[in-house]
Amino acid sequence: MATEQPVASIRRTQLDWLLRFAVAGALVGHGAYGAVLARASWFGYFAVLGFSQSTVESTGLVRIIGGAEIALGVIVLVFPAPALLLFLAAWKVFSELLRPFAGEPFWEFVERASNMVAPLALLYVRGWPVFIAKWFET
Amino acid sequence: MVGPVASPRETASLVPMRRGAFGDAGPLHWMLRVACAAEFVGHGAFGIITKAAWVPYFGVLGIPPELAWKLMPVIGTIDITVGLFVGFVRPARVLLLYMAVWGLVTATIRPLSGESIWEFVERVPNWAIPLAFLSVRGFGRSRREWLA
Repeated sequence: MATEQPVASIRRTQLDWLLRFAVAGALVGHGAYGAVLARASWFGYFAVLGFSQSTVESTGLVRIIGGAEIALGVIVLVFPAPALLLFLAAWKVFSELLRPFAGEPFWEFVERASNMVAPLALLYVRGWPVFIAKWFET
Repeated sequence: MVGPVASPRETASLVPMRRGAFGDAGPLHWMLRVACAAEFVGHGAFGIITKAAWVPYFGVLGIPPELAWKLMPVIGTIDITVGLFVGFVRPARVLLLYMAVWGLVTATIRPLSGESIWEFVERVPNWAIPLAFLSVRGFGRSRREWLA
């Protein structure tokens, strides 16, 4: 039986951590736009989903969603469970798609391809679980 | 080959990691390749159509606005060309290295121009994904491999 070369194990570990930081950066950075910077553009994204600006302001949705993204970004760094990675991949595609629907250039969505692919790539590298219980383990 | 049915820990001792074997075939190669290509085409598009927000980035390097507006389409053309080449021709290692370095430079220049540090944080994938793709393909050991 062939055994893995040590350098290959190091490469796999490096790749795993590189992708973890990519996913974490995408989530934490984007979440900070809302929770820390309170970007006005976020009102446009919520408007696409039918939330008026007054509703968003009164409920603090920008800070809540932004804070949740930051939290998930930190969590995925230390606990990259497959289910979480799959959710984050879908979330990134969904949240970035809001940009063109909110009136931003479509290239803003295209340019963020790496942000959307990172969770999927990490999921592939770590392995697509066969058993349901494995989806919530690392 | 390491595939989508078992964890890395389970397969680590079973599958020999040939140079490039992990990446030069299959879903991971194409995921990373499409991401790199789309990132550069999207970024380059803004250079072609020009973007006022880019002027301060040139200012960090001491380039005045008049010259910045002229350089934007040049940079945009280079970005799009590199993106399309990587996407449709071949993801040459030297280009992936260029993408990683350029992604890091453009991400770093934003806080240096006065924007929030979170602009850099959100753009970590811009350089990390090309670097990951290069890692998957393996660094070149000869000039020929760097061009391949």
